[in-house]
Amino acid sequence: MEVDYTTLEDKELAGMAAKGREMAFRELLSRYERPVFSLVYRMVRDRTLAEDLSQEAFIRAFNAIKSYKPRYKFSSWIFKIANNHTIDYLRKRKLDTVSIDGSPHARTSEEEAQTRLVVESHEEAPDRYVEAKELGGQIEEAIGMLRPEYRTAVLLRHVEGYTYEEIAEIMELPLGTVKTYLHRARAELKGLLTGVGS
Amino acid sequence: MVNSEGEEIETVAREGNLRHLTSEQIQEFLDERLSPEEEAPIQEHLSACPHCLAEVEAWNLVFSDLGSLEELEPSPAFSKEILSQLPDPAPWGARLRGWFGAGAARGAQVGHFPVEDLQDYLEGTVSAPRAARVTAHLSACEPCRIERKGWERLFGALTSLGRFAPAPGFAQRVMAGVRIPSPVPAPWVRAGNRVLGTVRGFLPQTRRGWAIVGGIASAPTISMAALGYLLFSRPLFTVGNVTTYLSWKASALFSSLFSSVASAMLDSVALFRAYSLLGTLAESPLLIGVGSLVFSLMSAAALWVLYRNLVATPSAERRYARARV
Repeated sequence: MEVDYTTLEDKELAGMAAKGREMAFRELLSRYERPVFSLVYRMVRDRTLAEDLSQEAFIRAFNAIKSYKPRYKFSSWIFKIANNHTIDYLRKRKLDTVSIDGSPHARTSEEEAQTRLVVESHEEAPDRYVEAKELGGQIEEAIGMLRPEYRTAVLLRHVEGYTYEEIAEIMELPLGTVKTYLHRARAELKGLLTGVGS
Repeated sequence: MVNSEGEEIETVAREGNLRHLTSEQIQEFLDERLSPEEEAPIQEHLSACPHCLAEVEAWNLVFSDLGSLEELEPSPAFSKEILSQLPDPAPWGARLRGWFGAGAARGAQVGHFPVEDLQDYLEGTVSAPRAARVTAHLSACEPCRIERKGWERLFGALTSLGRFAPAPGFAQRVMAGVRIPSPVPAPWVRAGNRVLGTVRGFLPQTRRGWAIVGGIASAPTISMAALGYLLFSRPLFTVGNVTTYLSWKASALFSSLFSSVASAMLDSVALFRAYSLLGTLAESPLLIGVGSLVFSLMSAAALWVLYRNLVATPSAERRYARARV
């Protein structure tokens, strides 16, 4: 009997994929390729790199599909893998297009400024025109100036619509820290947008 | 009979939602001491009653004033005594920042709601009493309303963010790197595999084991072959003669040992037919041929096993293939 994969839930698809159904993998991929790619793209702000990182995240997740536990949401699981992979990359390579701000645990703005690290880009990205078009809006540029952890929290909350608890699970952080990240990130965004507007 | 005043009271009582909240209810509500079931009707009432909303705002000011009561200043000697016991006093800059920070926090409590509360309020993640307090405050505070508009613009901009699509061929590139797990076999295949696994458990696991088995299996074969050669090398020992002799001897032995059983069997038609069939088969050259063939094949297999394990050395490739499996 022909199975209509589009009608199945993520958990069912993950179960079938673990049993070797290639179509289940493809359906999961079609559901999450855009959300995952969008998150990674906004994190690294480089199309080619974002595709490579997303691709690696999906391959890593799919090759470990048997370790997925159905009591968690599949979307949280795949986002957690993609986010960890991207953050690891950013930390290792100190990505030159990302401004790494001060410590998230800073208590005052001065402490945060003291621990701030900004490395500027001197390379010409191949897809610069496309990226400028896609990420050139005020809000996109403001998001691009946030530290990576803040960016993840804001994107998961406002683009993907996750709850605070789900974001805490994806980012493997305490709930209070996620709230702090979101408050600070939005305050920074508001400041940046107000500055742009004035 | 009810008088006109009584009728009015009854109307209010019937339309429960229209009756205004008592001050106790408002205080409990603002103090967040009500259960969600108790909060729900109050929240509903506040959304429809400007009078009670204004009351909430008035009580809210009282709560704010209580929260902003100035702290009593201890004597200078008290502070000095405490500070002298601290191991490492913070630098002057940090202390100043702390004082200014605390002052700003107090200012936020006295005047407007903290921006975190406003963010949570716009996101709908604050409790109902807190939301009511923010609503009441906003209705009375122009600067906070302006602040709210700024936050609403930000939330609107964030909500308008879309998703991007990866380049075509992304899915193919991902799938090329995915190792699809082997499909789970059907139940009967799994049962067969279990049986095979059990059988494999009885088989030798080492070359030495196979050599011993091969040797044991081939020893009687070699003996039988030698015996056959000795017998059939004589002129009178032909296949036909030996077969006739053996069948005669077998039937004689059978009839002498089981004559009573045989007589009973002869009385039975079915058994008689079976016996006749067996007799026919025993005399059949075809049966003898098939038996010899099976025996030869088994002997050849045993000798091959012996050869493979004692004489021939498996190639590296075969060893690798075996290890992979």
